[in-house]
Amino acid sequence: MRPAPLPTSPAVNVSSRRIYLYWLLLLVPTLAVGAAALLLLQREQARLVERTSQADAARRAAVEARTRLVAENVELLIGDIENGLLDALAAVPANELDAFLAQWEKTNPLVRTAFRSTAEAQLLRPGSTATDESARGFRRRFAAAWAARPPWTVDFVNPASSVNDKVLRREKAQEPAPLSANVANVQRARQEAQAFSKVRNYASSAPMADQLEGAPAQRKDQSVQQFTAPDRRGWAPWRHEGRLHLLGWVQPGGAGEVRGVELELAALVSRLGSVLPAEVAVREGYALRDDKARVLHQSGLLPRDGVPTLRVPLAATLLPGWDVAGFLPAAEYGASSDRGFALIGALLIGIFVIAILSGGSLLLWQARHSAEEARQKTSFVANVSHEFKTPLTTIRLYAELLEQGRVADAEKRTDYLRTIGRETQRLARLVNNALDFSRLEQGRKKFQLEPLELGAELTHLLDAHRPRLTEVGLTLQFHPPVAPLTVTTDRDALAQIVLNLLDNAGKYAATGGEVTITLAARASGVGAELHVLDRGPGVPPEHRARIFEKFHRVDDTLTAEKGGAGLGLSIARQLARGLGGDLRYAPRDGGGAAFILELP
Amino acid sequence: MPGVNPRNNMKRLLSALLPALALLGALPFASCAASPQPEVVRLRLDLDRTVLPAETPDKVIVKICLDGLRLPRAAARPPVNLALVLDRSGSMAGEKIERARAAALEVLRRLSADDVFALVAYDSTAQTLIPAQHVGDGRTLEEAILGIRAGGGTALFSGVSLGAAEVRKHTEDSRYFHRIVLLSDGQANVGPSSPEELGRLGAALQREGISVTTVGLGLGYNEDLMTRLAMRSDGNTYFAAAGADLPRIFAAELGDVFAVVARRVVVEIDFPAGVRPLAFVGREGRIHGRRAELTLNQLYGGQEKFALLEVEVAPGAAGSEREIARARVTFEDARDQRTATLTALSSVRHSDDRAVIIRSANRQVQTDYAVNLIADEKDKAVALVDANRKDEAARRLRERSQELQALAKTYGNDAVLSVAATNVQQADRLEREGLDNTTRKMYRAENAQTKNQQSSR
Repeated sequence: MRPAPLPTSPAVNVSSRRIYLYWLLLLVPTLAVGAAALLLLQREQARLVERTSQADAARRAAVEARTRLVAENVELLIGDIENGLLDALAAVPANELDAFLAQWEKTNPLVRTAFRSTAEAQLLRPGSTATDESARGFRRRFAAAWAARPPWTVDFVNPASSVNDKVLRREKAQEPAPLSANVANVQRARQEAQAFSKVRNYASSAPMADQLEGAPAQRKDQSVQQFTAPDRRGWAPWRHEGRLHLLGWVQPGGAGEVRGVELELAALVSRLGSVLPAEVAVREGYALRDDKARVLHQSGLLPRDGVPTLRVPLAATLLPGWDVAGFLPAAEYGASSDRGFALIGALLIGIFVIAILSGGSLLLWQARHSAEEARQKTSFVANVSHEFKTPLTTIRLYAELLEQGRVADAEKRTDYLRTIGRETQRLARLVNNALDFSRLEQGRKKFQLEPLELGAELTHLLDAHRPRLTEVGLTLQFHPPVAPLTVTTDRDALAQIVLNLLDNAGKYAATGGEVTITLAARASGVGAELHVLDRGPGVPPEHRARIFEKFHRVDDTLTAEKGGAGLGLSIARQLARGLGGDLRYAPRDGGGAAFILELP
Repeated sequence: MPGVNPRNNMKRLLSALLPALALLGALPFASCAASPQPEVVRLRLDLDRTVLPAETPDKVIVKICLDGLRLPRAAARPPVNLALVLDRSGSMAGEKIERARAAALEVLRRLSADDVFALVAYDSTAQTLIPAQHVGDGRTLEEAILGIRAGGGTALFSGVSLGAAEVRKHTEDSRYFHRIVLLSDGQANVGPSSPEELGRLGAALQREGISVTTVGLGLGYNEDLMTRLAMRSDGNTYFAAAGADLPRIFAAELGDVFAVVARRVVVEIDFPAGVRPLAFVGREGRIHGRRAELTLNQLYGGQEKFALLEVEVAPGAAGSEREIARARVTFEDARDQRTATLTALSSVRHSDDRAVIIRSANRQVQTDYAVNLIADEKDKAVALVDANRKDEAARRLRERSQELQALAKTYGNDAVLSVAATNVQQADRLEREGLDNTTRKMYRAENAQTKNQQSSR
C-alpha cells in the first residue's frame, strides 16, 4: 500500500538553482556596467577638471600677456612723449630759447613748466622774480632740492631706448580681436603724442613758425661744436612732498647750461587711458595704478579687495612705483560644478543598479514562491489521490468479497457492509474537505448562521464519531459547560472544524490514547472556547507557525508515515476565522497538543 | 540769493550811472581805445581812474575788455566738435539718468548735420558710446543715448580723458570749435580725483583748444573739482539742483557754444617802466615780469569777457602823463579761421586835484573789481570754512567789505557799496550758519561764473 517515492526534491532543486543562475546572469552584468559607468564618470570628471584648469591657465596667460602688452604700450607712449619733448627742446637754438620756452608753456598741453638752469643748478628760468603761480610753484618744488643734487648729475638711462618698438607689432599679430582694436587706439595716441610733444602753437603761429623754420638752419651753424660733444639728455622722476614729477633735461654739447621741462603729469595720465583695452572679456579687469596703488584708469571689472592677479611695474626710469595690474578673479563656480557632475552621475548609476537588482530580486522571489506553490500542489494532488485510494481499495475489496458470495457468515457480511459504509463516509469527508478548501480559496464559502446550544450539539456530534476514535485506540472525553452555552454560528462549519481536529488527533496522537474536549464560555463572557487536547507527540516548535498553512505537513513526503493532504487544519482555521473566531495551537501541559477554537 | 547776482546789480546800477558814464566818455584822456577795424572782437583797456595823485605811488586796476560782436546770422556759426561726457554711476539711477538722456537728446537735436558729436559715458570705467562723428540725421546716435543705463563707480578723470580723445580726432580741422560737456552728480572715486589734478588736466586741455564745461547735478558732486576743471579749461560751469534743470542748462550751454565768434584768444599786456603788474583779480592769467598774459579758448558773440589786473604805478609829477599798458590780442575769427590781431593803449595823468581824480573814476571798472575781489575772497572763505576756520573767513570777508565801502564812499560808487553791503550780509550768515552743501555749491558755481563772466547760468 505504500506508494513508491517520487523524485520531487531534485526537480525543485534544479529549478531553483536555475533561478539563481538567471539572477546571477542579471546581477553580474549589472554590477559590471555600474562599475564601468562609475569608472568612466571618474575619468570624465578628471578630464573636466583638467580642461577647466587648462582654460583657467590659458586665460591667466592671456591676462598676463595683455597686462604686459598694456605696460609695454604705456612705456612706449611715455617714451614717445619724452623723446619728442627732448628732441624739440634740443633743436632750439640758444638765442631763441626763452621765447620758445614761453611759447611752449603756453601752448603745449604736456609741458607744465619749462626751465633753464646752469650746470650748477642755478635756476635761470623761471627766475626768482617770477610772479605767476606755476613758476613760483616750480621754484618751490625744485630750486632748493637741486642745489644739493641736480637731476642731470645722476646718470639716468634714457628710458625710451630701453623700449623697443617691435613689441607693439609682435603683439599685434598674436593678440585676439578685441585688443587689435586697441592697437589702433594706442597708435593714434602715440601719433598724437608725437605731434604734441613737438611744438604746437596756435596763438601766435606766424612768428613762431618762422622761428621754427629758421631753427634747423641756425642749428647747422652751431652743429660744428655740437658734433664734437653730443647732447646729454635724460628724464628724472622726482619726488616732492610725496608727489611724483617728471623732469626732462637736455644739456647741449654735454656741458654748460641745462634746458628742461617738467611734464604735465595730469595730461600724460589722461592720454594713457587709451592704452587700456577698450573691451575686455567677462571677469577680466585691467588698471593703470600710480605709486600709491590708486587706480588711474581701469578697464573691465576690478574686484573689491583690489588684489591684482598680476602686476607689471612700469620701468622705474619712467614712472617708478607705477604699475599695470591685471585682474582675473579665481573661478568660483568651476570646481563645484565638476563635483556636482560626478555626484549626479554616481547617483544616477546607483539608482540604475539598484532598480535592476531590486527588480531582479523581486522576480526571483516571485519565481521561488511560484515554485514552492507548484511543489505543494503536486504534493497535495498526490496526497489526496493517496487518501482516496485507501478507502476505495477497502471498499472495492469488501464489495468484491460480497459479490463473489464467499462470505457465508451473516455477521461478517454485516461487518463488511458497515466497513464499506464507514469508508464511504470517510471518502465523503475527504471530498467535503476538498470542496470546502476550493470554496474558501475562491472566497465563495457562505455561512448559514443560527443560534446553537453548543453543549448538546457537540455531545451529539462526538457521540457519532466516538466509535471511529475508539477504533484507533483513543478515548474521547467531553467536558460540557455547566450552564448551557448558546452561540450564533454555522452548524456544518462547526462540525467540520471539530471533525478535522478529531481526525488530526486520530492521525497523529493515537499513541496518546486520549482526546479531551472541553467547552467553556470565553473569559470576556461573549462566545465560547473549545479546547481539543491530546497526548500525542505535539508539534515541533519550527512547524507551529506553519501548521495552519494550506498543504503544509510536518512530513510532507508521500512516504510519510501518516497520510493526509495538509488541508485539515488549514480549512479549520479558515472556517473559524470565517465565523469570526480563531483557531490556534498551544503545546499542552504535560505533553501533547492543544488546539483552541474561539467562537464569538 | 538774488542779491548776490552781480549781473542784476550791474544792470540796475548801470542805468543809474549812465550820466556818469557819459561824463567819463567826454573826458579828454578817455582810455578806451577801440579798434577801428571791423573785427568780431573789440579790445578795450579801462582803468579805474584816469587821473592819479601826483608824487605818490598808487595802485591802478586795469580792465582788459574783450567784446564779442553778435554775428548777424545764426546759420553762419562755425561747426561744433562736441563730446558729451555723461556720468552713469549708480547714483545717477532713476530720474537723474532719464533727465540726462533727455538733455543729451536735446543737445543732439540742436546740433546740425555738419557738427561732430561724441558721447562718452563713465561709471567705473569710461566707455565711448558714440565715437566722434558727424551728426547727420542723428537717428543712430539717439539710440545710443537711449541705451544708457546707470550703475557702478565714478571714473571722472577717465571720462574726461576719453572725451578729450574723441574731440582730438577732429582738432586738426580748424573749422571746428571744440568742447567737452561733462555731467556728474557724484564724487570721483576711480582714478585721479583731486581738484588740483583735474584743474591741471583742464589747463592742459585748454592748451589744445579744448574747453570743458562742467555741469554738477544734485548735491553730491565735488564742486571744487568741477569748477576748477571748467575754469582752467575756460569752459562754463553750472550747478543743477535737480535733473529737471538739465535740458535748460544744456540748451544755455549750446547757446554759448553756437555764439562763438573768436577762438584761441591770447591777450598780451605790456607795461612800460614805472608800472609793475601785481596780480590778476578774478580771472586767472600769467605775469612774467612786465608782461601779463591771458588765454581764452573762445569769445561768445554779444558777451563781454574781461580780466582785471592790479598794477602799481610809480610816482609822477602833477600834470605829467604816463602810459599804463599796451595790450595786444590775437585771435582766430571763428567764421573764416583767419588770425587777427588788435591792439589798445591806455594812459593816466597825474594831478594834485582830488576832485579831478575822483571825477576820473570809472565806476563800472570799480564795480567789476569789487565783484571779482569778493568772488576771490569767497573762494578763500570756502577753503577756510573747510579748514574749520569759519570766523576767520567771515572776518576776512568783512575786511574786504570795509575796504570796498571806503572805496565806494570816496568815489561815491553806489554799486560798489551795494556789493559790499551784500557781502557783509553773507559774512554774517556764514559766521552764523557756516556753509551748507547747497550754499557751498552755489558759492563755487557763482564765483566761477563771475570770474569767467559766464552769461548763461
